[in-house]
Formats: sequence, C-alpha cells, structure tokens
Amino acid sequence: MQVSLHMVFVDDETELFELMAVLLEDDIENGTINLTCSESAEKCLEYLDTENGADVVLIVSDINMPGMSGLDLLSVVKEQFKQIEVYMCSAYDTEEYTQRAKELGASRYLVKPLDIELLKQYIEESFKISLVS
Amino acid sequence: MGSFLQQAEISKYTSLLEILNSISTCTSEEEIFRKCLNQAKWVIDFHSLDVVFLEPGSSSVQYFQVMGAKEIRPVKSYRTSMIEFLEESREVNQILSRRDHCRLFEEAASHGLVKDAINQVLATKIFEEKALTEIILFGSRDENGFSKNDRILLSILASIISGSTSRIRSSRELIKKNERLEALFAETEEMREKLLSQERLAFIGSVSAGIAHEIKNPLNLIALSRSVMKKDAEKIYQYCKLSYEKENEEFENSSIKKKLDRLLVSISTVESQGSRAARILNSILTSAYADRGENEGTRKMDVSELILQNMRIAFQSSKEAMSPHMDNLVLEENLDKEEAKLTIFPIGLSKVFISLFENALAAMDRKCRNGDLECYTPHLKLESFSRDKRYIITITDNGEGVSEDCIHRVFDPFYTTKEAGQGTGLGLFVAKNTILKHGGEIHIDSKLGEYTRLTISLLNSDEKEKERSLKDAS
Repeated sequence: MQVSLHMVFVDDETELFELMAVLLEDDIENGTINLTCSESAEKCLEYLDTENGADVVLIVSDINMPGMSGLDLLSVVKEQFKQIEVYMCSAYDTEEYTQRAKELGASRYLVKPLDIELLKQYIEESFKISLVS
Repeated sequence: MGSFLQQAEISKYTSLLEILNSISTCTSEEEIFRKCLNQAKWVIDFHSLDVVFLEPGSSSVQYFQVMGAKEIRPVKSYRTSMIEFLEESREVNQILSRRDHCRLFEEAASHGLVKDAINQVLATKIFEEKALTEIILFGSRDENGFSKNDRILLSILASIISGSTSRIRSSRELIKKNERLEALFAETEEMREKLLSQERLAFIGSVSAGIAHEIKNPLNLIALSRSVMKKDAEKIYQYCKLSYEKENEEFENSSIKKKLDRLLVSISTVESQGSRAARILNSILTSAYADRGENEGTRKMDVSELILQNMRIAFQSSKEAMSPHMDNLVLEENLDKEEAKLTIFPIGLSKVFISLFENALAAMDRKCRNGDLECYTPHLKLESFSRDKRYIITITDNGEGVSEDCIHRVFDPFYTTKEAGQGTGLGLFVAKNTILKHGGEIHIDSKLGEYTRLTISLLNSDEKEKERSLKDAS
C-alpha cells in the first residue's frame, strides 16, 4: 500500500476544517492524503512532536492568527523540521508578506479565497503524486 | 524791548508746538513736509529742506527734496561717502558747507536738485537703536548761516519731523508685517486643509483596506463551501441519474433533474459572484498598497516623458475593449519639455496618469458607442506649462463629459459611473491622494456631452531647491 501524504492544515477559522476534509475526501478515502487540522500554530507544533505527527511532510498554514502567526510557525518548522514543506495561505497579497514567506523558506504562497484545485496542483507538483480531480 | 523779544521767542516755541499738533494726524511723509513748510516759514527762516531716509544695511537711500521742488516725492540715491562721514561723526547736529551739501547728493545733483544759493546747511541726524535712519538738512542763504537760536529751533523742528515720519514708517512697516502675517496665515490654513483632506483620504484608504481583508476571510469560507456544494451536487446528480436508469425511468424530464440543474446554476452564480467580490477586494487592496508604495522614494525625472509613456500604456491596454472608431483618435500634444524635470514618486504618478487616460479613453469610447459616428472624432489634448513655480498639466478629452450633479463626487472613494463590476470607483480617489502627496492639486471641469478636463498642478521642486541654495549662499 502507498504511504499517505500526511499534511497539517492550520487556520484559526475551524469551520474550514470540515470543508477541507470534504474537498479532499476522495484522496483521503483512497489513502493518498492523511489530513490533520490544527486551530493554531502552537497546537500544530505540539502535534509535530507527538508520535502521530512524526510523519508530517506538509503544512498549509494561515498567516494572521491569534498567538503565533503563520510566519512564526514557518520559521520554527524550517529550523526544527527541515524535511517538512510549508505552504502559506493568507488574505494578504502584499509584497511584504510574500517576500517574507519566501525568505523564511515557504515553498508556496496561496491567496485567499483559497483555490482548492490550485492547492491540489501544488501538492501534485511538490510530491510527484496524482490526486483525484 | 527785551520782554517783546522774549515774547517773540516764546511765540516761536508755541508755533512749533502747533506744528507738532497739526502733523500728528498726517498719514504720509509728503503731507508732513508740506504742513511743516507752510507753518514753519513763519517761525524760522530757512531756504531749503531735504530729508534723507537710510535703511540700515542697505546701500540705497531715499531722498526727499522738500523745498523748491514742484512736487514732494522720494528720489532714490545711494550712500555717498558724505553720508558715511555723517554716519561716523559723533555730532548730532552738523554744520555743512555748500560743497559738502553737494557732495552729499552727487547722484541726486544730476537731477538738478541742489540749489546754488545755499551757503550753509544744518544736518540733524536721527538714530534708531544706534543706527542712523534719517538725516534732516536745513539750508540757509544767509551769508553768516543760521544763528544760534535758529539752530536750536531747527533741531526741535527736526525732532518733530522725524518723530512723525518714524511713526508713519513704523505703522507702514506694521501694515506690511500684518499683510505678510495674513498671507502666512492663509497659507497655513490652506496647508492645514490639505493635510486634513490628505489625512482623511489616508484614513479612508486604510479603513477600506482593513474592511477588504476582513471580508476576504468569510469569502474564503463561502468559496470553499461552494466547492463542497458543487462537488456533492455533481455526485448526487450522477447518483440520481444511475438510479433512474436502473429503474428504467426517464431522468431527463424528471423533476429531480430540474431541481438539481437549478442547484448547479445557483452554485455557479455563487462562484461567479464570489470571484467578482474577490476581484473588487483585490483592486481596493492594490490601490491601498499602491499608495503605500509611494513612500519608497522620489526621483527627479521628465514628467512630460512620463505622461506620453503612460498615455501609450493606457491606449494599448484599453484598445481591445474599445470601439473600432477609437482608432481615429486625434492626439494633440503640447507639453512643456524644458521645465518638465520634477522630483516625483514615479510609480504613484504613473498610476495616476494611466487611470486618468483610461477614464478619458472610456469617456470617448462611450460617446463612440452611443453617438453619431459621422459627426464625432475622438480628440485628446495634452498640455503642460510652467507657471509660478508650478508645473501645470491639463488632459482634455471630448468624450461624453460629466454631469453637473456628479462632478463634485468624482474624487470620492467608491464613486463610479461604470457598470457594476466594471470599476471600483477608486481611480480618481487614489489619483487625488497621490497628487496631494506631491504637494500638488487636481481639478476637474466638464460639460456634459462635450468635454472633460483634468488639471494637475505639481510643485516645481527645482524652484524650491534653487531658493534653498540661494538662501544658503547668502
């Protein structure tokens, strides 16, 4: 059996979690993607330290969140979990943010409203897999 | 006999007091001199009166020939060596010979102002804060010159004259200062208004950017929910179709298919309107950021070149969507290239020009679509010139114009006459904001159906620099 791609979706708007699960359900059902959702950067970091979180290879994180921001999370992850790819996702589409995300090592920058097909395309390119369209 | 002489002397002093009293209400030097002459000749015998006004630190002097001239008016002269001599001598009242008197006005002498018959001159110097400001010269034709008593009376008369002239001069100075203050105050008031409106614009900008971001989050949820709905609706559609086929029932005309079709149409409406909302938000944010970007720095460049460059960009980007009749556009260009080098925010100002040109092209395009093409040739006129330290640019199109009701609102944020979804109503708002940041002004005037003219006035910072360097040098 194929090893599933374990990704963590980080956003303080928890209503998004159900939607992400539905939108990726085919790939989750067939075992291509293992989706974990986290409502804050702090919780995400905690999760990465657990046994379940050990095989995470991708984090898709919002930037503006209460507490640690997505960019803070990005810099910690790039320091402690070099193997994990990080996509940033924000309503802010400013040079300031995109440049900062790039410098800190984010591989992709997605602008809200999130285009789920674009996210899937990025995942396919990064991990050389094919997802159910 | 002695008491008669004494009384005569006393009456002279009384007359001097009367002179003092009568000239205290005079409002000009000429008036003072005239009154003095009329009244003093009954008191003291003198044959010429000249008054010189000196300005501390200036090499020119103002010279009045009071007696003998047809009209009493100031003559400009310069600080001769004789004046410098008087300035340095310690005597307040100095007796000068006729030759000295001539030397005093070497320059003025050429105007024929010096009288030959004068034998002696009494020069009384008036000081203000230790600087010589006025010299009053009385001349006598008498062989022996002025008597001792005359000298005393004349020096009193001199003080009376100088007291009144200095009162007039200082009140004139006060008026001047007052005018300067008033001008300064008006300028400050104007600046304050400008700053206030700039602040207001910046505030509206940041508030709208904040709102735009806040709306993006719920919009994100709506967009993702819409994706879920679409996905599930399509699945249900497939499922129903299969079930109907299994039961050998007709799916095509079934009521469930109609309902599902309607659902899918509604979902696609949510999708298209959601992207429209996102587009609007993005353009609000772009203009807000464009605004911020200008703080990056100014550059000195040729504004006339910038105008033409952006005209080309606007034309190219609008060309496809425009009526083919717009190919007949006549461009009349009369830009001042000599004085066009200004210190500006290049990105910000380029955006302003592009948005103004796009508006002008759109106004002419609409006229092409709605009007009689045979009678209409689109015409765009660009003019610029330098005046009063300002570089003034006008952009005039003969498009459909703006109605009187709307014209005062065109610079308001979110005001647009374009069809829904076509414009954000931020173009002129951002333009005004940017122009204000340049210390400039933008005005619009228009006649409905005939023309629209935008006038931009930018500060010629070169003039500013010149002024500053001149000040530094002095």
